[in-house]
Amino acid sequence: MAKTPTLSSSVLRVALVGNPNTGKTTLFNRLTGARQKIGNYPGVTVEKKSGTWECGGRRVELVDLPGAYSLAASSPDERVSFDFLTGHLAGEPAPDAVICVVDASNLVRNLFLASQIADLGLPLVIALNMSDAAEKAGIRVDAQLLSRHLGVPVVRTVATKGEGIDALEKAVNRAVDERACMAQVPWPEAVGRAVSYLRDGLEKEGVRPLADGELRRVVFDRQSAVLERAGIPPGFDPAPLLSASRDILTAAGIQPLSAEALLRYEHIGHLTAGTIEFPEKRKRSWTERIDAVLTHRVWGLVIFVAMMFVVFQSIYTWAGPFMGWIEEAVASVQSLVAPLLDNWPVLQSLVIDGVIGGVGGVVVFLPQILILFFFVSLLEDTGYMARGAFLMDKMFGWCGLNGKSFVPMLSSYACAIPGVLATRTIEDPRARLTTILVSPLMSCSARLPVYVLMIGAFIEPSYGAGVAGFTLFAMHFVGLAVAVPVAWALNKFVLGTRPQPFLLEMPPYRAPRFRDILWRMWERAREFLVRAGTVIVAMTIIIWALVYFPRPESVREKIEASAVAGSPAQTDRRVDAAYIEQSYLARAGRLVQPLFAPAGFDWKITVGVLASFPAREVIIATLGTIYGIGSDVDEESGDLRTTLASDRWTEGPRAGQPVFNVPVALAIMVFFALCLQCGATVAVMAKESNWGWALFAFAYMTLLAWAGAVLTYQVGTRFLAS
Amino acid sequence: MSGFELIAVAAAIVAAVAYLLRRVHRLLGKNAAGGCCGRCPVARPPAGR
Amino acid sequence: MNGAACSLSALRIGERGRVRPGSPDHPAFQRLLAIGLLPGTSVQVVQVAPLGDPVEIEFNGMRLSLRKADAAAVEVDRAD
Repeated sequence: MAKTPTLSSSVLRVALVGNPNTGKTTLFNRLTGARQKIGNYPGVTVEKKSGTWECGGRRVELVDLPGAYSLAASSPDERVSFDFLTGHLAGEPAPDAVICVVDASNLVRNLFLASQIADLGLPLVIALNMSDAAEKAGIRVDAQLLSRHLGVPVVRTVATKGEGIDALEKAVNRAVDERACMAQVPWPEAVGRAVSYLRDGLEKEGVRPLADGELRRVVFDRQSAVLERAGIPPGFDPAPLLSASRDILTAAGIQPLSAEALLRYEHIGHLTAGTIEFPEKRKRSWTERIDAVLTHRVWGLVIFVAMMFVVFQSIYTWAGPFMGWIEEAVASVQSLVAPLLDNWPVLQSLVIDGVIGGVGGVVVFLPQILILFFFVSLLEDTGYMARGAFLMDKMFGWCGLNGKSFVPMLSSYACAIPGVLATRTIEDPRARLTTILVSPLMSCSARLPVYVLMIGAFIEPSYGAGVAGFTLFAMHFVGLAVAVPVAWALNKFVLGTRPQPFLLEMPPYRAPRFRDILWRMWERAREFLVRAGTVIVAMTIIIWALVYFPRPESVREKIEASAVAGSPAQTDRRVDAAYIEQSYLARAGRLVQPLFAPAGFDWKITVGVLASFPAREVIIATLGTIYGIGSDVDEESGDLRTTLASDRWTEGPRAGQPVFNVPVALAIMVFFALCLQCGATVAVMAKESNWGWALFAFAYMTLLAWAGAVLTYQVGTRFLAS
Repeated sequence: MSGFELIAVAAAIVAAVAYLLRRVHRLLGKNAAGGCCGRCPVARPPAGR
Repeated sequence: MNGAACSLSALRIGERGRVRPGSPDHPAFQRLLAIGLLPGTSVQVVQVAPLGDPVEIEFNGMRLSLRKADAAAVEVDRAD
């Protein structure tokens, strides 16, 4: 199916393929110099990524394809890989060569994919990666002999150390120049007959001509996307044609669905004969020893829970001092800038209360984000995530969530967007849709600031640091606990999804590289700050305007006229409060507040919640702005936590009581845990499914969030002393 | 409020609204998945769409 | 080698078996073949998750976690 390389263009296109966990992404980063998300977890690379590689004087566009065990195009990401390799993606010709990255310790299994690529007639280079680890385990591969048997260059590489890169460059150039293709499986004659039968039948129906390699995929794969891509004319059902061609195989004593694997592995067995040397006595590997404890029925679970608890406790406690420093820095910037704007009080309020106060309030939570990503990277890079999935599967699997839902759902703990994109590894479209619909329930890192603010202001003072850490842990659990019954209901009543097989490779444990961890922490920190500097600033300016205006003189005059006693400062504060109470934002908030009254929210919280629908961190900026304008600029303003704790109801049945107490704080956290307050996620969900489903998810999550907040508040006020 | 302040504050508000509208437009546009939110390093435009 | 035939899910921790030809109707059939769980492969149950499901198996140096329902579809000859 390969087209002849376009000699006119000087840029070669080379695809990087391989099984998950073969160090493919590390090699990609080595070759292109680009940094990418690296994870020792199956399925981290969810889509195609490309970079430029100077390959021995030639310019190469290197494309990193999702990790896969097979080219059977049953899941969306496998389809992307297959379409890319066969040149069926719009505007993307087939690559000039393919580098297949194989794990030297698992050569035979890895060559299965290489053998499928051979079927497509593409020039191939085998990168025998992680050779050092294999050699340490006593597995020796004779690369030269293997290369002779396969008919393509085989290069020994250690991507993490950059070994074998020069040799790889030479090998790719050679493979392109010589069009070195791997030895194909000598298919039995019956396979040829089945393929010709299918080709003739499809030709008669006017389906676009397909190459033999593609037709074999149609015959062998239970469900192949190849026909769909080729374009089936309306009114033509290919099923009878397909089963007739499979009958040809059955008649010849070949089981069609197992034929490919059996024949390929048999061929690979011949090709690798005499090239692999196994150790005489297999040593008990580190992975086995560690797994004996970490996946143990009792200890594994105890360690898992303890580890999660330590993670959230550390996020909570370690960040404390750093938060204090950032708060001080923000306050000193405010007091530095404020005098410069003394002549323009309105502008001063915009800059100090609005922009600096609002954005500063969000930036304070940078330490937590950094610590969270330190742990997430650590757990991913060591290979522990797969063990976590193993331990937890039963608890979350009963609802019909695909085993493969784990990767997207775990990713969603960082951010729902890569999580939703990661659902492309799921074959069953309905199981994939379910996962897309529940992924935003996972507590993403943008929710962290809300939790930390509320816990710091209301839980820790009442119950201490231990309960505070536990609350943070619990909030991250709420979304997951809700996702399971939601997924069950979706599967049972809406989508009717059948249970899917759950196969997850447990990768060998690897020592994490701190450079990679630091890089990912930095990347995430940068994104967080960029977001604070763009979307949050813009939202803050608008919210400031809505809180600041209108400012009729009559309000001030009325307060000053009725001021019987009190210092001028007290009068000023009463004037500020009166202005806020009649601001546009307050008017809007009061209008909607009855809706949120059962959850104990006052108009300020209501407004914060509503303003946070485009991006959830906005609530912090909103509260910061409201309370910033409310406080005197010249006064040494306390941090947001203490300000929140001292706010009281000015009207209604609870007048004089604190606005915030423990049940209200819990209700706010539950609301944010369950609500889909992220415009970008909604848009990505719409792209990956459609707008109907995206809006459905938005609607059900908003309802859940409201119900959850009301329940929390109502139960909380009855059982908790506030 | 002085004229200067009026202009400065109005300009800030207009810029903020314009920026957010552009964001929304990009979000709904064709290249939405690509770095739209600036939050995730993984999101790129879906291949082949 | 020629022990009693049973399903993979019936093996206890530490027990080994040799895979027998399976039924092509099972949804995981082709996936398991593609990663090399072929008839004749020696497979060991390494670990069972705390709640009894899924199981972790090892074959050809690969560690794989799969649900009991899927493991039940893999027939093995229990090795002694």
